[in-house]
Amino acid sequence: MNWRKINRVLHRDFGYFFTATTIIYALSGIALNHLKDWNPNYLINSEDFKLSEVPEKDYINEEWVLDIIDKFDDRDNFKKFYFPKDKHLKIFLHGGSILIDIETGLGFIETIRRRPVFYEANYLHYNPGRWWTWFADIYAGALALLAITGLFVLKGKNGITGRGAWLTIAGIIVPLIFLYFII
Amino acid sequence: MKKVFVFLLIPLLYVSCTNQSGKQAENQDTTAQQEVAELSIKELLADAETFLGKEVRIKGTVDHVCKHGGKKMFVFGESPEDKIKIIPDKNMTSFEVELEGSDIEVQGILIEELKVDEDYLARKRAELKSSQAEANAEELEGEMKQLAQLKEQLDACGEETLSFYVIECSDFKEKK
Repeated sequence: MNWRKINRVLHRDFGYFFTATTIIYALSGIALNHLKDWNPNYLINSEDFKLSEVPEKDYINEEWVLDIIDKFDDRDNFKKFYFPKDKHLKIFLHGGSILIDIETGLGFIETIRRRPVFYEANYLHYNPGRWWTWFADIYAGALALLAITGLFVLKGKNGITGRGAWLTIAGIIVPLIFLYFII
Repeated sequence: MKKVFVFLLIPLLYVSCTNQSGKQAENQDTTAQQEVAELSIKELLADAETFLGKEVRIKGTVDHVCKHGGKKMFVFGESPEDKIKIIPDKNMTSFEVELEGSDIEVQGILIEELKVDEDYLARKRAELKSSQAEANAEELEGEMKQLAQLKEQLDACGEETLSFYVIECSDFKEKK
């Protein structure tokens, strides 16, 4: 087997095997690049409301809290309630929370659910465990191998001695421009 | 077929290499658990200096988890005033938002996150003034408000310095 064939086989098989991992890192890479613009992990909705009547703090009990939950959510989602400050009541729900100013009756409900696909991709991107870190290291090595073997897949005018050379040089120049002239 | 075996061999080699260190880490964890001080958040905060840099275990309810990455959460004890910030240690990724409202047991090392005194406040005010041109007005106002709150807290505590503590969490358990 000549070296070009080994190169092609490595490029092909590593490419197939790491397709899913590449998509995971690509998705989470974009998501985490734009943390300022959105929350890539959770879909959060909040809604303001005003209660016409709120009893005094000492009269607020679980029964009253469950009645409040009924207005906005399912009472089965109730977890716990407490008073973070004298005039504030916080109700914890499975999948959100309700905060009420017991003096004014003003409040808001926040519901939270995991953003499908992105949550899982971001979770893996943050290296959740030793085993994944090892796998990610192998993947990083494989990416380098894919890049190098990719240079030599084609022969001729579209290969590394022709068009490929110019595109590779352009790809080296772009980060250098950012490094020395833009950032 | 041979090719497939070679391909699978790489991760297997890594598995066998890391298995030993995993067992060692487990043994170290067991030893560490024996020396952990178990106390309430109130007790911990009242005597924080004594426990600085030491492994502690506290119980409480999760009030809030940062929704942008889960890199911090706040846990309160029997009273809502007894509240402490928890951050994940280097081996832990993040905390899940679903923990809000759950009773948990946290183990980790107590560290001093911030020490506020008059010098610190003066330095921060100067920094904010010098960056006035670059920062937007809203951000600046928010940061000035935070400094004013810190000053109030410092005056109220009656000490020369005001310390803020966090637990660098190595492990936690949700109580169902």
